[in-house]
Amino acid sequence: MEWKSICCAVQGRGHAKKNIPCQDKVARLNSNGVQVIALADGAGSAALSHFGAECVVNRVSNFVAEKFFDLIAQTDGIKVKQEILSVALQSLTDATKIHDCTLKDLASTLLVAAVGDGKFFLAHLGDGVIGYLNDAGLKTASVPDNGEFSNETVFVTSSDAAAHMRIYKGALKTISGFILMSDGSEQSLYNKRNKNLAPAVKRLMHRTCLVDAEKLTPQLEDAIKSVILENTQDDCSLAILARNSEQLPPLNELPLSERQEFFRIDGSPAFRKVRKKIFRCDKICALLARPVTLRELARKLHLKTPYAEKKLRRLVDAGIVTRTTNGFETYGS
Amino acid sequence: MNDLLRKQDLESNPTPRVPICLCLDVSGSMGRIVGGDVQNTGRREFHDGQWWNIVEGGITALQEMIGGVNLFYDNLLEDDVARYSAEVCVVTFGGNSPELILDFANLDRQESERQQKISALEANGGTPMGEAVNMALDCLDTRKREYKDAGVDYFQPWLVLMTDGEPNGSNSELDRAISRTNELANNRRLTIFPIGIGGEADMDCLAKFSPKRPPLRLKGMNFKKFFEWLSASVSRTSQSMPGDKIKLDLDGLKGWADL
Repeated sequence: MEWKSICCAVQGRGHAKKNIPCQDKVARLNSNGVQVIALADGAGSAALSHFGAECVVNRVSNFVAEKFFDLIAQTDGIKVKQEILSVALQSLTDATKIHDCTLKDLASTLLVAAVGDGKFFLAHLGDGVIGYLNDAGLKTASVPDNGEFSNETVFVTSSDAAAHMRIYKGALKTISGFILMSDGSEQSLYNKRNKNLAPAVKRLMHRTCLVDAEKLTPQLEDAIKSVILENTQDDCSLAILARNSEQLPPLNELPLSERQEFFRIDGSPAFRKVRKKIFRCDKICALLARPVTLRELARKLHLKTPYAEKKLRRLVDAGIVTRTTNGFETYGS
Repeated sequence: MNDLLRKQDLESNPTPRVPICLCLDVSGSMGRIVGGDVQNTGRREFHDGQWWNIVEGGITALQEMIGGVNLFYDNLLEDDVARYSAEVCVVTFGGNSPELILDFANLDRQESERQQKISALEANGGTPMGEAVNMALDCLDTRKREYKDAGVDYFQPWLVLMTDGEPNGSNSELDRAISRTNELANNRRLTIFPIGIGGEADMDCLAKFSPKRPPLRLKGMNFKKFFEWLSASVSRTSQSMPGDKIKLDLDGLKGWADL
C-alpha cells in the first residue's frame, strides 16, 4: 500500500492576539521512493524563530529523503544525530546571513519521520510528540522532552542538542501511520498523564490515506482552528504519514455508512436512492483504481461524457478521486 | 469540518499551572496603625519585641496587606487564563509558629475558604520567618509532586515573602530556609520575591533568601500596587509557551517599591 502524507500549521490564539507569526512550520516530501514529514516549533523567546523553523524543516526533510538509506544503515547513532544537527545548523547559519541575526534568534525544535522500502526513521528533539499506529493500535514513539517546567525545552541551537536528540529506525512490519505534533496540538491529541495518543489521531491517519492531501489540508486547518485551538494559546501543527492497513482499511472495505460519509452523500442509506448513489460512487472508485480518462470512464459507465463528469466531480470535490497526468484516479488506490 | 476532529475523540489535558506561595508576616507588629483616624486609649503594651501605644480606630498594616491579597485573588479570577492556571497557597507567620492558611487548589474551588480565612487574619506574636519559609517550600514541593503524578505541566514556582520586622524564631530553621531558597533560586527552580514592609523590615535578612534579586521595600503601604503587579506577572507567565523566557516587568516595580 502506498504511503500518503499531510501536514499543516495554524497560528495560535496567543500569537494572533500579539500579531506574532505562526512559529510552527511543517514540510512533507516524496523523493526517490522515500516519504518524509517534518515539523519544527520555533522558540517563543527567539524573535525570528518562524524563519528558523521553516529552514530546518525544509533542509532536514530534503536531507533525510536523500540520505534515508545511509541513515538507517548507519550503526553509530551519534553520527546520525550529528549529521542531522549539522544540516539543521548549517541551514540556520545560512539564514542568519539573510536575516542579519544570531543562531539563537532562529531556535526551534525538530521532529522527523521518514519511510521507504519497508523501513522507517524517526528523529525528535525538544517538545512535541511522535506517535505511530500498528496492528495493536496507536502508540507513542517519542514523548515530549521538556525540562521540569512548562516553558523549558531543547532546541536545535541548544549546546546539548545532540545529547537530547532521540532517533529510531526499524522495519515497518504492521506500522501503517506516523504522526508528528507540536506541543500546541499535544494539548488535544496526547494524554500527558498516561502518555497515550487521542483516538482522533487514527481518524486523521485514515483520512490521510483516503482523501487527497490538497482537499484534506484546508479541512484539517479548519478543524484545528475550531476544535484544537480552543484548548491552547499556542500554535498548533501536525504532520501525518499513513497507508492503508487492517487498522486503516481502504474505501471498498468500509461499511456503507462510512463510505457515504467519504462520498459526502446526504440522506439515510435506508432509502434505495441514497444506496444507489453510494454504489455508483463505489463503482467509479473501482474503475479508477488505475488512471482513466474521462471519456474512458464515461464509456465504462455507459453515460454521456457530461453526465460522467458530473458524477466524477462529486468524488473529486470530496478528495476521493484526483486528477493525474493520465486522467483520473482514486486517491487511496 | 468538525467531523474530522470530534471532541469526544480528543484529550483534555489540564492547563499548565503557576504555583505561587504567599508567605506573610502576621506578627504583632503588623497590627500597627498605618492610616485612618485614631483615638489614643493611653494604654501601652509590649508585643513582638517592642512597646506599643494602644489606640482605637485606624487602619493596620495587616488590613492593608489583606486588601492587597484579596485584590490579587480578584485580579487572577478575572483573567481568563490565569484563573485556571494560577494556584495559590498562603502560609502566615505570627504567634510562635507558622500556619498553613490556604493549601494549593484551583482558585474557584478555594474561593469561599479564601474569603473567610484571609479576612480573618489577626496580627499576633513573634516572627518565626525561617519556620514559615520552610513550610512554604514544603508546600511547593508537595504540590510539584502532585503535578508530576497527575501529568500536569507547571511553571517555575513563585514564593512571595513579606515581613515588616526581623525573624525571631529558631536560628537553625532560619539558616535551613535560607540555604533551601538559595539552592532553588540558583538552580532556577524557584522565583522568590522578598518584600520588606515599612522602615523596620530587616532587609539584610531578606537579602539572604534571594541570591539573584535584591529584596524590595514596599513604598509606604502600597500593597495594592504590588499585588496588582504580581497578578499581572502571573497572568503573563500563565500565557507563556515552551521556549519563552519569562521576563518580569521590572519597570513596573518602580510604582510600588523603593529600589
